[in-house]
Amino acid sequence: MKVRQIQFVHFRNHRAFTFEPGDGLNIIYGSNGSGKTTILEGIHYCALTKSFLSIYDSEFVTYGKTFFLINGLFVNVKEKLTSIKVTYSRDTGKQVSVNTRNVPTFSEHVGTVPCITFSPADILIVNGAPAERRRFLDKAISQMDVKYLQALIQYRRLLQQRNALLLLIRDRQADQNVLDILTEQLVEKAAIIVYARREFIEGIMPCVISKLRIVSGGENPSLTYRCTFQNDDDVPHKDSMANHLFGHLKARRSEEIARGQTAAGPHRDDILFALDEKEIKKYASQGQKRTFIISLKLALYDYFQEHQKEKPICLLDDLFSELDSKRVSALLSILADFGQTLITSTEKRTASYINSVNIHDLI
Amino acid sequence: MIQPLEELVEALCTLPTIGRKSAWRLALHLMERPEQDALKLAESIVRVRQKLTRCKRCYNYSETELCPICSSASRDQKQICVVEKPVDLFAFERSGRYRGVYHILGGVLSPLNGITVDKLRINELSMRIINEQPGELILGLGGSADAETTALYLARIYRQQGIRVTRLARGLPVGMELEYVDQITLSQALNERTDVHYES
Repeated sequence: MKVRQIQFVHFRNHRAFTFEPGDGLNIIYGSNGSGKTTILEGIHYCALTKSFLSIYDSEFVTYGKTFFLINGLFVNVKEKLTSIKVTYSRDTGKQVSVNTRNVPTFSEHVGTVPCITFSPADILIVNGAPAERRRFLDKAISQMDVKYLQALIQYRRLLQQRNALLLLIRDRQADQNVLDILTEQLVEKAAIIVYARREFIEGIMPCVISKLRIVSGGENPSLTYRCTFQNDDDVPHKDSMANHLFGHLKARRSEEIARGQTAAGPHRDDILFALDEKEIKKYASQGQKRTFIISLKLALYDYFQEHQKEKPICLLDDLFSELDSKRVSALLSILADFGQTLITSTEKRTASYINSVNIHDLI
Repeated sequence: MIQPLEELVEALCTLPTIGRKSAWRLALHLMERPEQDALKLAESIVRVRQKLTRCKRCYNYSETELCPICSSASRDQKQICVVEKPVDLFAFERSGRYRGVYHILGGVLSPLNGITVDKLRINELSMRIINEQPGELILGLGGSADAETTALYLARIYRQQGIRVTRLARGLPVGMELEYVDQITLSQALNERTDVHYES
């Protein structure tokens, strides 16, 4: 998938602005606050209907205006054009249309424009709470597997209901007879999620190893899924995973009721990242962490490509900061073989395969 | 400014989907139409509130102790269709296909909103099942996640009692083009496919 043209109206500091990136590696450079990242955000909105920096829709409206509009023209591997329009105003909320057809549920649209993002805030995937790592997994898998996203949405809803019921039971406002039903529904979705996550981690691991080797020159990474209801050496088969979690929750029921919370499941699971068998969060340097995250993101490219016909678009915000020149040129050599890539940077870089764009020439 | 008119607007505002602007439009409309029309509306509101109670068997609105459906000899009293609210009952009735009776649950289970088993007419349903010994219980609940939980719950307790429990089929809407059907619905329709019967 490639962006042919992206048009903004009242989107942050872009009041009325059109950008046409090149097909290969694009580096958008310019001073701080000139709106480089905003271009990436706009493309991300078209692909995944929201911001990659988790900024609220309302905050993208140019100060003093009432709405924003993004109009993206995309072309797929068969040269077929798709026009994606995202509008937001406080009164009507967010609307997405594909080829002028309105998209009623955004989850249906997710995955049609595969896209990989990197931003300096992604360091949280290593440093932050487990929720950050789960978000990384969920975003990556959802783009490839609509059923995963559906299961995830249903799981979250069931989890809220179940936790609410546990609280009611604790306060003696409900008895336990509905709990079994909710638990059965919950574990069924949980099994789909955990199975897909394990499969994803297994699949992406070789890609992470090869990418990190090129960028860092020899570190050996590993990714391990940390499940709250099963041991790593005793992973139940896909079909018995739901039963396993059901039994686990049943055994912890009194604890669950006392806390009013579901004790185990994909909402509590984590991944462990290690470099040469040492946990990255604790032992790696800032530069190593950053290199690892970038390799993880670049590995997604290979993984997506293996599982989908479309090459993903790479949106890499401020990719080169904190990296030494050796790592930068290693990264550029990888990206030269990728599909369409957009990188923001404060400095200009030139090479035959780079389309260097000065943002100040655009606006 | 004009006290009675403002009061009417306030009252209309409390209705669902009616905002201030619509309330003003409705109030002025009532003033501008012949007086009779407005009085007729007022009378019918009074009448439904004073004359209608709930049917003591199915809990639908009724003028009599037993609603016309529950007291009809031509309805199959051994087939009970469980619905969430009266408007669902009217939907079934419009289809003209159903000849059994109903039970209005008054909502679906949703612990998040404080709706537990005792907030719904589930005990009443259990009593009916003991008294009436129906041959079939049809779960005519909607497709939401909460409706699903409720259906599974009811199915479990009544199946344990040996009652035949059925649910509405889920799948393709009639007249729908396949290419526009979403993946989830289509795979559901495939799961619940039925044999084709030839009439000869």
